[in-house]
Order: sequence, then structure tokens, then C-alpha cells
Amino acid sequence: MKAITLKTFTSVHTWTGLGAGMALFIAFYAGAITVFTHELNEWDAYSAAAPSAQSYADAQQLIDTVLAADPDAAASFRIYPSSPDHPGNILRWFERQDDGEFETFEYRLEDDGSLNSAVETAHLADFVYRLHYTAGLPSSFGLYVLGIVCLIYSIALVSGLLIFLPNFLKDLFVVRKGKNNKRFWLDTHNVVGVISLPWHFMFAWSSAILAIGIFILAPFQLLVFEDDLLVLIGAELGLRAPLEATGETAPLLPFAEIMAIAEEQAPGIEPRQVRYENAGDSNAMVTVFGSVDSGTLSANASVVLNASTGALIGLDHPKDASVGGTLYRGLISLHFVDFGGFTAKWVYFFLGLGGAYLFYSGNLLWVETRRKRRQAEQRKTTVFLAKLNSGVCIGCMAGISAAFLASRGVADWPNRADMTELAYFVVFFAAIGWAFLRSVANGARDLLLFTAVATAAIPIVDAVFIGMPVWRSLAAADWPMFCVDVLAIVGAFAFWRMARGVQRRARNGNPHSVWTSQAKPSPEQQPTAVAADAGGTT
Amino acid sequence: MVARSFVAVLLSAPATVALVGLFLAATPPAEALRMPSLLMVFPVWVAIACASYLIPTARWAAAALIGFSLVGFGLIELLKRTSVVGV
Repeated sequence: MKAITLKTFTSVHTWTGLGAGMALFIAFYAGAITVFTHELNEWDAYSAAAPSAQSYADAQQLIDTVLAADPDAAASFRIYPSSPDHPGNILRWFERQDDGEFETFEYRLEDDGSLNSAVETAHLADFVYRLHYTAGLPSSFGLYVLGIVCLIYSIALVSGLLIFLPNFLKDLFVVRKGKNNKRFWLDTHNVVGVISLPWHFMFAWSSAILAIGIFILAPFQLLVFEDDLLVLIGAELGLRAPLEATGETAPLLPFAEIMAIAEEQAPGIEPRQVRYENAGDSNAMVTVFGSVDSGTLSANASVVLNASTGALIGLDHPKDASVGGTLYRGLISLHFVDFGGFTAKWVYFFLGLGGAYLFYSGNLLWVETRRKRRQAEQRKTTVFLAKLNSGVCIGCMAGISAAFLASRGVADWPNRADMTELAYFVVFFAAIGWAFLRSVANGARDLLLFTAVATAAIPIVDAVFIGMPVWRSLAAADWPMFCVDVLAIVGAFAFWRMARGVQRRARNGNPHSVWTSQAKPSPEQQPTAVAADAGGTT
Repeated sequence: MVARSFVAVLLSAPATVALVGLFLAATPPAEALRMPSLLMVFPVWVAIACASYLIPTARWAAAALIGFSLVGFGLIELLKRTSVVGV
């Protein structure tokens, strides 16, 4: 490769990494946790009195009782059938408010047959998931911004690969830990990047489709296709418009009968959600979403029926999918790790953390590369980025730990969801503010220590607020509780070690760096800066 | 670098639509090709954006991408008007 090409792509990699790095750090750190979103929800929604398993007959009773009590629900509602992991049937429907937001209505059937309309306040898993795809920006805007970030991220991946290629075999899996900090950061950045490269490509691709897919399709509709593109590919995307209501009333087919038809059409389906549209109308539609053992990457299937007659309207099964449908489903399954069970989830979890490290270390490399080796005073832009990187990245981790604490600490409050989000954003912005108030080294050390304390407090609040210390969750085989607490302890230890590392470098490292807390030498003690140095040793 | 990156990210988008659109228009009407081609838009977009950095200046890169897009859309329109289209 020509030197000029290498130089160009090094520059591209640097600037695209800087442009997208911090948003991607949040997306990957939150994404690593989101891999276990169901388990996190179980941790968050912990109740000493766990609901008991319910039958399809109970689900039928729930539907009848809700429709009698709240007829507005008939237009569109969802049943989440009782399963071993989530015992108890739940019925939910959403009402659009004037401000565009949706109000959630949630119902459960108590053992005595009464209706429980208390809305579940556990919101942490949803919030962390939202952070994953918006980086904390307002929902739709954040989603589109992250979509564009995916493009920049892909360019960073390609350019990173191109600049690494000439030394691919020589530097592959080589980590040189010595006095040269820049070399260490670069080696670990390369190793993590190379190991997870295919996974990152998949993520950039699938995330762009999920975030800005509609904008990618729009110009094709305008400039290429004559027919409605969504009609042409709707079935492959799994889109199906509800049947138009006729206005004629008709009773709903019993829930158990609908499930039997779904089982007949998609043998072995494990229903996750049953969605009703226009219940009570002769054109009522019901869609049973669930998982099947398809032998392919995607396990998601859906059976669409007329909810009054039971007539089959549509069947989406991975085995019957077209090439395009299989490719699309495969990408989505790869993104959401709908395969491979807990082994794949743990791999994704560590790859997610590795991805976060990749973006953090990329920014650190930018700071190290621009270090002026012969003077204590560093460039303002270098100091600014070092502070921003610490504030945003460590602030995100501290904020998420704070959200865990808030969600558990105010579990009885009606505004628990708001308090969970507030805890994150207060800590996140306070961390950025603190990083700019302090020197780079002291700010990073303080924030890491705070994150260590906040994370270590998670198992403590579990023990104090719900009486579940780690050993009790282990004895009760409450794995979500046990894993969250153990990971929190391990995480807290890691943050404490990082804080100590920062502190050590601040005290004993080279004073000609943003990472020092040593007093700056007076001008007469300071050697003359011959030139602006780039790179070098500590 | 900022100008080049704007050119790469923004102008590679119409070039991608032109390239994939031309492929869809030029190939026989086949449902099997439609969705995979549309899913390939993102990798093609990234490839064109990255390739544009190989052009020495931002101005030349912009001219090349605009020219490529115009030729592509022109050919698609030509195929449509001559009824030799696959879309």
C-alpha cells in the first residue's frame, strides 16, 4: 500500500473514530448490559411474592374481564402468556396521548379472580436498552443520529483494517506492555479490534438497517421503483397491515383454540406475545409471535389468524423465508443474539465491553499521540478531549450504576421510572462537569472511584432493600440476582484498579503529559520545546 | 479532512442508490434479488464512501461521485423509458 494511502486512511480512522467514538462507547456499554435485558428486567422487577404460573383459561378470563371493564382496549391489545421464566399472564394496551406519547395500561389476574391494574414500574432494562440505541439523546432523534454514527463507525472499521493490514501478521495479538503507554494502548486497541472485527461489521450493518432503514429505502422508492416498495418487500420484512374492521360484531375465538391453531401451523412454537386488533369485530385479527426450533439462525415465527373464525391469514416461519427474508432475519437475529442461548449472550456481553474499550482506547491514543514530550503544558485541544472522554465514558458507566441503585432504592415510588432516568442523567452530566473542573488525571481518578463505589453499592442495596445478599440469591438459585451482584462486585474492583492505575501514573509518570498531577516546573526548569512532538515514550 | 468526510458520507449516498438501483433495473425482474440487493445498500455505501478517500482532493471526489450518480440515474431512467426494467 502506498504511503500516501496509508496516511490518508490513518487520518480518516482518527477523525471518524473521534467523531463517533463517545456515542459508540455509550451504545456498546449499554448494549453489553442489554444483551441480558430479560434477566435485568427480572432483577429489576424482583418481588418476594413471585406470581404463580397461569393457564390459557386464565388468559381467556383476563381478556374477558379487561374488555368488560375497559372496552377501549379492544382496538389493540397484547397478551404476554405465562411462561416458566415469566409466570402469570399479562395484558397490555397503549393509548396515544395528545403529546404523542403513549400511556400504558397493564392488567393481571389475581388468584381470587380480581383484576390487578397496577402498571409494572421496573423500567431499568428498557432505559438501558434506550441508551443503547439513542446514547441518551431524545428517542427518534437519537435513533437517527446513531444510524449516521453507524456509517461513520463502518468507515472507521474499514480504514482501521486498511492501516493495520501492512503489519497484520507481525502485530496480530501482540501486546507490548512497557514504559511506552502509547504502544500498549495501540496494541490492545488492535487486538480487540481485530478479534471482534466481523462482529463489529455485522453490528454496524444491522444497526444501520434498524435505525435508518426507512431512509435507506426512501430514495429507491422515489428514483427506482414504480410500485409501492413496502408492499413489494413487506412480507419479507414481516410487515402485515391489520384487516379493516367491518363494523359487524363477532365473538372472539377462545384463547386456547387460537393457541392450538398456532401450534398446528408452526409446530413447537413457544408463544411470547399474542397481539389482537379490532377484537369483537368480524375482521378481528390476532397474531401469535413466538420462537420455533427452525434449525436456522432465526427462531422468530408468527402466525396471523382471523380472531373470530380462526382462518389463517399469514404465516411467517424461518424455514419458509425467501433468500432476502432469511438474510434480513439473520442480520436481526445476529444483532439481538436470538441464538446460541446463554453461551452466545456471554460472548456478546464481553464483545460489547470490548467494543466500548475500543472506542475509549481510540480516544486515549489520540491524546497520547498529540502529547508534547518536552513540556508540561499540553495543547488545549488534547486536554479538552481527554477531559471530555473521561467525563462522557466514565460518566456513562457511573450513571448506569446510579440508575441500578435508584431503581432498587425507590422501587415503591410511583415515579420510579422517572427517578431511574434522572439518576443516570444527573450523574452523567455531573461527571462531565467534574471532569472539566479538575485536572485530567484527578478528574478521571475521582470519577473511576465514584463509579467503583456506586457499582459496589448494587449488591448492598439488594441486601438492604429486598433482603437478598449474594449468598442468599445463590442459595435460592436466583441467577439474574446473583449474576448482577457478582458482576457488580467484579466491575467495582476493576474500576478501583483503574482508579489506582490513573493515580499511579499521575504521581509517578512522566510529568509531560495530561495524565500527571505533579506540579508544573517553572519556566527556567523546563527544557525548550524544539518541536511539537507526536508519539514517543512515557 | 472535514470537507472530504462530508463528501464521502453525503455524496456516496446517491452514488449507492444509483449503483444498486441500476443493478435492480438491469437484472431480470426477480423477487429473490430485490431484498438482498436492498440489504446490500449499506455495505455498498460504506465501500463507496471509503473508496472516495482514494481520490486526491475533496473537489475531485465530489465531482466523481456526482458524475457517477448522474450517469447511474440517467441509465435507470433510460431503462425505464425503454421498458427494459426489472423493477
